Amino acid sequence: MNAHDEVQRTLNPTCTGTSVIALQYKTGVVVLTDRVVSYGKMARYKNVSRQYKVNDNVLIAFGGDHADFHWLQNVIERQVLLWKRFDQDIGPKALHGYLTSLLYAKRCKMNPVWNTLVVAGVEEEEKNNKETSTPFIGVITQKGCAYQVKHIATGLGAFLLNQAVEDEWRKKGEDLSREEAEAVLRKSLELTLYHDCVADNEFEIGRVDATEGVVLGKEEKIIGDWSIAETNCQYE
Amino acid sequence: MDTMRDEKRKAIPAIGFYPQEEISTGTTLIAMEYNGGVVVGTDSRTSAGSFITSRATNKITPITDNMVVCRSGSAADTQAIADIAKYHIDVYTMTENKPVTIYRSSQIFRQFLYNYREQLSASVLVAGWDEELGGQVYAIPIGGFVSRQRSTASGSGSTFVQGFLDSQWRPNLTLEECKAIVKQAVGLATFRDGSSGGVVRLAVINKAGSQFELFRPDKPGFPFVQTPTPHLSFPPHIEQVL
Repeated sequence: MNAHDEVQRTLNPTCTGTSVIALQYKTGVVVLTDRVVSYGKMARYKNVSRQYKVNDNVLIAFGGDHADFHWLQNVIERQVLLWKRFDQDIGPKALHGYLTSLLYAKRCKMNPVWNTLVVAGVEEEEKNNKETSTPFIGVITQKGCAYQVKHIATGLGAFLLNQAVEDEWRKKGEDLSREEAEAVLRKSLELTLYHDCVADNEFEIGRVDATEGVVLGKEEKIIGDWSIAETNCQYE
Repeated sequence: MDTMRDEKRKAIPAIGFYPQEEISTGTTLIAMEYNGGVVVGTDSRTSAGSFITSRATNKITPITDNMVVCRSGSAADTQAIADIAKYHIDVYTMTENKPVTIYRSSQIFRQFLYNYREQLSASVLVAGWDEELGGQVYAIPIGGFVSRQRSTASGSGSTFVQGFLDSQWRPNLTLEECKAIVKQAVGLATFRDGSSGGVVRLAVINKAGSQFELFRPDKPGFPFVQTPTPHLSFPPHIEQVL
């Protein structure tokens, strides 16, 4: 490795995104991300989406360095076209597997893609039969560690939210309807708003549904409950 | 002293010690004189690294009925200094049987902030009203330099609004104008700074004493920042929602 290599490696993240929260429901997956690019602790750019629609079955959300995902989005686009040459739509499991290998290989070369990726989608078990499609959430960390889950929170959300989301999940499990799943996500977002320095209150909820395909979310805003500020907050 | 501090921050797994990010009130503090007193405004976020440890902190600490100190920097350091300085000011008030002037109080703060400057990480604004000089704001940044100011900002969020405050300042502001500027400045700083956020706390100190106000995001009156309409996030051929 010569000195020239340093120039080409991502050694520190600069413009970053924070948590991603995703949850399976009966017929698909809902994903929540906020819309701010943080430059260290400064909220530098607003209204930037962290969810990318790959095709009608797959949605990718990311946290971590934005520039690295920009590059990755290009690579994913090329993979999709490669599959299209054989008249296939890439499925979430296949994309998840491909990205795992890619991120692990880059990590081994000490040039990581500084992103935590959440691949959300609906996997077709039988061709052209929507009835048997199953929802899929796959996570890949920046070191290339990958796993499949039914619900996930990444970033600082991993510490704050995983238990809250799990509690809601245990109530109804796979029988959650879309509205109930979205309600769980919104409630979880409130927690990040209260306890994550780099979280923003403007967010979007995207979903992948077996019948509707990928529906990207419109921008929404949440304010939270600040009645705690009315009590005596002096330190004496 | 500095090197000793760094050594202390290594982890000792054998006894379960893992150093954590110092808890700091990475902050926005704004203070401004008007014709009759002073207005101070702060956010309410205390953070340790990226984690918000307290989202509704009160950074405006009353010292006497006519004086407050706004705290930024290490939360522990500023709380301790405020307590100690308050004690000294109380003793002088009692033994001399008249209120301590704001100027003298700022010098008492300086006594501790300067003499212990290597051990502390504290930056404060002392603001109040007295008979002699009316409304006064004294800025005491890290190191212990005291200077009287007409309009000043302190803390990590201050960098985002220095320009705004410079453009808004003019002599002989009325109370309402001053409150609007201070509130808007805190709102703008909170909008951009990750270490500032939560609610906006305002205090007005004049001849009548100190009046404290609270502006919550979920109630009307919270400073509103207009964001421009966005452009596309991805290249135009990608399917996306604006």
